[in-house]
This record gives sequence, C-alpha cells and structure tokens, in this order.
Amino acid sequence: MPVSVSNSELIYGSLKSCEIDLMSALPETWLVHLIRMADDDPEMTLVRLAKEEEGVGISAGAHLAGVKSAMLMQNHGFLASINGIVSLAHLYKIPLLMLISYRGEFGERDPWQTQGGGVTVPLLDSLGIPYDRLDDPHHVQSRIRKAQHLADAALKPVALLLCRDLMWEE
Amino acid sequence: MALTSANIQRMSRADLTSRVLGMVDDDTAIIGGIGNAGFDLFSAGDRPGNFYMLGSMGMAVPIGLGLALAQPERTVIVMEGEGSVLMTLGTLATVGREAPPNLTIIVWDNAQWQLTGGQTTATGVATDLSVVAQGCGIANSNAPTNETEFEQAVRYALDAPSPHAIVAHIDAEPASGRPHDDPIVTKYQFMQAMGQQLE
Repeated sequence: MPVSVSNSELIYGSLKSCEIDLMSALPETWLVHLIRMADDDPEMTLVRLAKEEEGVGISAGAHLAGVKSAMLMQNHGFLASINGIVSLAHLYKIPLLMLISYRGEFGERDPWQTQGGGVTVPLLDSLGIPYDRLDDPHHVQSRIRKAQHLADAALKPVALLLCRDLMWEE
Repeated sequence: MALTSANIQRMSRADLTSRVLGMVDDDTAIIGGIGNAGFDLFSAGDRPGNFYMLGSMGMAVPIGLGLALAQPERTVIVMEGEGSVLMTLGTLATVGREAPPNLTIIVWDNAQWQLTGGQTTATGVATDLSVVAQGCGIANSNAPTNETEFEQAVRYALDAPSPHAIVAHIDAEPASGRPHDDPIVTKYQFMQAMGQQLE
C-alpha cells in the first residue's frame, strides 16, 4: 500500500510533540499508518468512531477535562461532522485540531471521492475554519504546531489538509 | 416485543433526576442533553458539575465519552432524551467498544420529540434502546420499570466499574425551569468543576 510511512511518522511525531493525548479516528486509506501508530502507542487514547461527528463531542469532552486531542478523518467525514462543529464547537468555543485527508484533488482516480474534494475548501471557508495544507514534509511539524496554537488561542476548530503529495507515494 | 404506552408504567423525569442528584457526590460530572433532559437537571439542582447542552443534538453521549476517557477517575453521567440518542445511535457502539468504566448513560425515553409537539419517536413504535445498548456491547443495560428499580440501577452503575445504560420510560411533563442560556458561562463553570485552571 503506497501510503507514505515516513510522512505518517512525521505527522504522528508532530502531534505527540503538541502533547496530544487523545485521538479520534475513522479509518480511511491515507490514515492507515497514523491510526496504527496511535493504536500501538500505550500513551495515546485512540477512539475508533462509528461516524466522524462523534469525534467533535469526544474532543469537546476532552477539552472540558483539560486533555488535548486531535481528530483524524477523511474530508467526507468532515462533511459528516458539520452540525457538531457548528452547534457544539463554535457555540461553546471548543478548540478542535482536525486532520483531514484531502481526497478528490488533482490526481484522484476514485470518482466517489471527487464530489467531496470539490467542496472541502469552500465549506471550510464558509464555516470560518482556518486551514492550511500539509503537502511537503518540510513544513509538517511547524504547521501542525501553529495550527494547534491557533486552535487553543482562538478556541475554535482549525483544519490541516493532508494532501496527496504528502500522503501517497505513486 | 416493543414496549408501548399501553403496557409500561411511565415515571417522572423530574423525580428521577432528583433521585440521581441525591445519590451522587459533588465530583460527579453530569451532562444534561438538550431540551427537557437539561432543563430538569437544572431544576432538580444546579451544581458546578452539571453541563447543560444547548443545540448540538446528539452530542451529549460523545461529550460524556470524551470526558470519561480524559478523566478516568471521575464518575460521568449523561442524561439524554431518546430522540437525541436515536440521532447518534452509532455512538452507543463506540461506547461499547471503548468500554469506559466510569460512564453511565441515562436515557429519558418518553417515546416522543417532546419540545417540538410530541411527535412519536421510533421507541414508541418499534425500538427498544436498552436492547440496542446491550447489543452495542454495553452489557450493563437495563430498563427499570419503577422508581425502586431505577434507584437500584443507578446505585449499581455508581458501584460497578463498567459502562452502564439505564433506559427510563418517563412521561411528558415539561420541566419546571431552564438554565441560563449562555454557553460560555456554562462551559467555564463546568471546566472549573472539572479541575481546570482558567485564565
């Protein structure tokens, strides 16, 4: 499976250095190594979801309890989370660190990923969610750290888009 | 056989909420779901460890799960209406899978979306949420049929480390009061009760 192990390790290590102690996830191909690393890490609480919107509530509960968390999801999972993001995270000023695998961009071969890919960034914009791309290993660590700083300072959701050039080795 | 209004005795949500508050200590976190679940929690006894949901229907159980995982020494109770539980039904499977020993879900089931005019939910026709919870791996799941059984179930939930689900069939009496509606005030009061230092 040509999902990049080294870049997944880079992302996971960056999350650990941000003192993330809890992650929620729903499997998707590009996230396979990240989820396995969280599963293998005795210091990480990994919550395997039935649907991504649950992760918004779980991260909110963790925040209320003083624990930093991250959410691993595909962009269609972001679409499935929007009411929780708006009605819970925005309403109660809950920081969310969302790592969204950005399917459906240039290079996508699966027709079923393309619709969600086309609306991901417009939805982030319309929801007022700050986001940045992770598409080069050189900026992974700094962008994850900066994203978490903004989420904690603004007390709002932020998104990092895990892009094909970083996650997939053709 | 689905329980119908003809063959079950319905209890008072306000009364049962008061009974729970009489059984827990100050450190217990209670998440009150949207609508009458939270309203009755407030009316029965406002306390720093109460978190009142506004909006975000279906998120009370996930919030309780996140809290229970983040503070495993703390007892966490979620009080949620059946309409909200039905909206995020998959989260019962997530609770069953993660199996936090300190989380109890109390479902107030009056078989209707009460605040919107009393339209019948699936539990009034076909669905038994205590069986659903059990099927999702929440082994300690039951549906007490009277107040004594309810108190026994709550006592067992507080004593036995396991996720618990208690589905209480309640009437449709509206709550007598409502909490203040500023979500940020609610949040910070609750976070202080959870031991968070606030700037």
